[in-house]
Amino acid sequence: MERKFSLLVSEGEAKISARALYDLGFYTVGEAVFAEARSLFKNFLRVLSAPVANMDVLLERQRVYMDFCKNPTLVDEIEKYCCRAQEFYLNPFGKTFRTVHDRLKYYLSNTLALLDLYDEFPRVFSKFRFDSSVLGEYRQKPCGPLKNELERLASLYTDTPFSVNVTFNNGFKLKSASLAGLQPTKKTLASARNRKKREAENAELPEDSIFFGGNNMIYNVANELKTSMILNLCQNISSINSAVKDFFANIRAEAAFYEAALMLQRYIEEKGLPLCMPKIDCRAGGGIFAKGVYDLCLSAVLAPESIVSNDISMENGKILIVTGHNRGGKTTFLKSVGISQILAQAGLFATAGEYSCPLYNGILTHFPSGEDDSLGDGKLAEELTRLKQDFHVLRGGGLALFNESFTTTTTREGSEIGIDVLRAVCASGSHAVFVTHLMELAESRQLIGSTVSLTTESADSYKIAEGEPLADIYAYDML
Amino acid sequence: MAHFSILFANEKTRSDFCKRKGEEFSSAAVKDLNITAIIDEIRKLTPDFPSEYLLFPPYDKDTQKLRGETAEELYGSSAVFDSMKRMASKLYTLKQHCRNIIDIKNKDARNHCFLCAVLEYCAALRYLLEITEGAASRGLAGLHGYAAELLRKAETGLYTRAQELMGKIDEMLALSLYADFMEQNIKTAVSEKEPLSDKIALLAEDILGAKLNFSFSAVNNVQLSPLEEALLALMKAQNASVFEELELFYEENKLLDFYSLIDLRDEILFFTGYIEFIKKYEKAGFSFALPKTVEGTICMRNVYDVSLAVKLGKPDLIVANSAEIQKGDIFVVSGANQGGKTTFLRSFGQCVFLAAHGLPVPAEKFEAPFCGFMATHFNRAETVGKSRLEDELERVRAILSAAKENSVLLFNECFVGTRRGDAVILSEKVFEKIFSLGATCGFVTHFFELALRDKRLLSFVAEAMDDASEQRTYRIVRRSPDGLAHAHSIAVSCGATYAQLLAETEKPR
Repeated sequence: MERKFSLLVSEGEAKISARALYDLGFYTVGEAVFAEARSLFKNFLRVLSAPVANMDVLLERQRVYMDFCKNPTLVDEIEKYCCRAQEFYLNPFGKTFRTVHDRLKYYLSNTLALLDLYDEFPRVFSKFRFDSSVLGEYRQKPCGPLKNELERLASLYTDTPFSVNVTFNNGFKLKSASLAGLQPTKKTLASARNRKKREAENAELPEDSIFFGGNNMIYNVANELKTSMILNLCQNISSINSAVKDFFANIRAEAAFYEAALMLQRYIEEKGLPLCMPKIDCRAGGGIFAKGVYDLCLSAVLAPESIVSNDISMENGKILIVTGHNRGGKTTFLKSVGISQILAQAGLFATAGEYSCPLYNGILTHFPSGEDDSLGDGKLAEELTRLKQDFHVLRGGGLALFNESFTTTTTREGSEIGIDVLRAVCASGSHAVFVTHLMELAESRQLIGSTVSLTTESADSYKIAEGEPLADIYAYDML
Repeated sequence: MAHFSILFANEKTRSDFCKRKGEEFSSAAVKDLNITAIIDEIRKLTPDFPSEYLLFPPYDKDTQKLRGETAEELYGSSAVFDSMKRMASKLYTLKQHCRNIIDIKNKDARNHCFLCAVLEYCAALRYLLEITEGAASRGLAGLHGYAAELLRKAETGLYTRAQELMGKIDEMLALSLYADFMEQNIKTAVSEKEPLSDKIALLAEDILGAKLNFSFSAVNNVQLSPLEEALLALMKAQNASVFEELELFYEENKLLDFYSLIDLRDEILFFTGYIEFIKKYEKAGFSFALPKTVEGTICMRNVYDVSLAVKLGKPDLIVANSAEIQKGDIFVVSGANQGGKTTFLRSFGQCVFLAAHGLPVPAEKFEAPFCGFMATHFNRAETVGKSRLEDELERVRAILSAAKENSVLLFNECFVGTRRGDAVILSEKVFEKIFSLGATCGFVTHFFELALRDKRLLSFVAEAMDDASEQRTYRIVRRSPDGLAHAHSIAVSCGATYAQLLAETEKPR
């Protein structure tokens, strides 16, 4: 079915790497917020995995989200219609139909009822006031004329005469047929009863008719033709039913996305953590600028007051190389940027006090994988293969988030690879945050291009700020 | 009128071809040169490819020339090639019609199929005449003359008459059936112009975007179902004159020889099927060249194994080789294991084999004298009840007795079933016989000393990198053998060195 209306305005066209949502910890958030609503969470992730890269679409989606915020019962109203629609979906499996007419009856009655519901659906939106044009200007074509034509098919429950247009193969073999009408344009000249009467009177039979009185072979073939026609009608009515079913299923899934977003927002607000509607800045040379950005995943394991937020600015460079103390908050910083950006490009809020960002064409995450599933090629090969597979998401400018990449070889070789990779990121017009312990890489950042060095302020402050890479990170202290 | 052929220049070659079916030398060559892999690939693109023609290269100069010219014209012009492909598909339709004429029992239905066949036949002849107009090759120019002759033979105005009759029948067949099950009758009328199904389909697409299809199959498996019989009778009663005309048309033209044209389909497919295959590989970057028949020198530039190309699919994975030898030369290929010796021999063999058909060969250039016989002798599994050497010698004997001056003989790893000294002597005996015949021969062997002992032999060596890696270059170069097989690196990569095998024995069970 051609989509004419979408609560999401349009499907997001940006890409994210296969493991991005996992790497950024969305599943941890899911455990905390959606423990009782798994399918809602699954649907939420589906939308997050297709970020929006078009400014107009994103702004409209933000307005739709705000409309859902202002009208919290809207989701329930949509849900009610979707649930009612379910009653009329066709499910012939397990049903026994005595005749094809019974089957047609079942298909028609359900589909006509479903079309009635479809026609009623716009009433949902008339109860509310909206700022978004998607919701405020919702229109759909009425199904009346289609219902009228379908209702005519109900006459086939009885033995109403029908006509089929036929085509022939070579040798006068029938090839195909299709329903042409339900009332013969000309009255048949004689009935079987008349025929018998005429036969008795020795009168001539009409020459333009084939009689199949009694259970003869002609009757059987004609009956097969009729059965095929009714089954074909059922199939087409089923297609109509499926089209409406898809409509309601899509609306339901799209409304569920906003429902999940509202749940997440309530969770954050209950925790007393800040959130904001991001400001989208697509000007050339822009980047991410945020104040008080934090890692939402930590809310699942830490008290809100223990969560440390950070600021971020890409003013001095688009490649941020983050070094510093072990357990100093580098990965947390990386995740907080990733989560906010994913939520922002879904048309939702950012987990920050202030958040301004461009719309990236792709978001790539490259975190170490837990297990070596490279079948003997080694972990470095696995890392590089994964990177190569995902790198295309940066096409046209994206955001790349690296966490301790290329540590499975010597530091010199790892740095060389890292420099090459970041040069490629830079050349693709993308931005990056690269968390690393590779000092050679951090110190050779002039080879890469527009880079900024960030470092942990101290071992236990979890604050990240601009600064030269630390020579000693006190790793032994951790022993 | 005798049927025309673009595959056989004379009847003798055609009857030779029929006699050679099942011939040992050809089936061995097809297997050894991996021609079956090529056929399998061709059949993926042209399922009806007549492979039996490819299995037996014609050893007739005139036929080779006829095929060569036809292949050259089809290969050289995409327009001609596409037209001939369309011609083959028209002939397929004609064949189907002819099958129906035989199969269908009802007289009127048979007559209708006959009419369809006549229309297809006339259309195909006219098309053939049009596409072969001004053809340069003997084969296609001959087809033009043949089509003109067949058209002349067909009754004047046959096509127009058939078209008119078909027009009347089509008009009669534009039907709606009104079925009234209460009244138990079916009535025919002119097709509904605005059927209900169209209305519903348009509305469903406009409102919901749903695409509907109200057409359903009314086909049944019987000859003519009772309903179809009744419909036919009804139509006949209403259009008696049309059916009489149809019957008359059949009676007057039933002796028309459709197969004079249908038989050409396989011959056309032989060329179009093969050229379709090489076009696909040319697109992937492989080179093919039209073979040239010359006297004296065999010149091959960048020949490669096309069956390997089929398997690997990428030209950068294939190494091509070049060489120049004289007719009557024996070249011995020795050198590195898995270094490309057999592949080189097979490449050369494939070029000779395909050139004998006049077809483009896997090379950038291939010139060779006329080949009047070809035989291959590759390793085979042992036959029960015979020693390996005995079996080999039997095959060698048969090849040498069939070979003549313009033969090409290819031997791969002969006489490995005996001691090296004996094998060298046996090989030399074979060489003597081949030299006396004046045949051209390729001989792949590990017995490098053969080339050192007899200065008449041309020595080629499969090379490996001159470093510790001993990586194969798959290059075959003309030089004296050095006696190195570079087997150690393969043993290492296979885990079959002494230390590795020993380590295997030391693992805990």
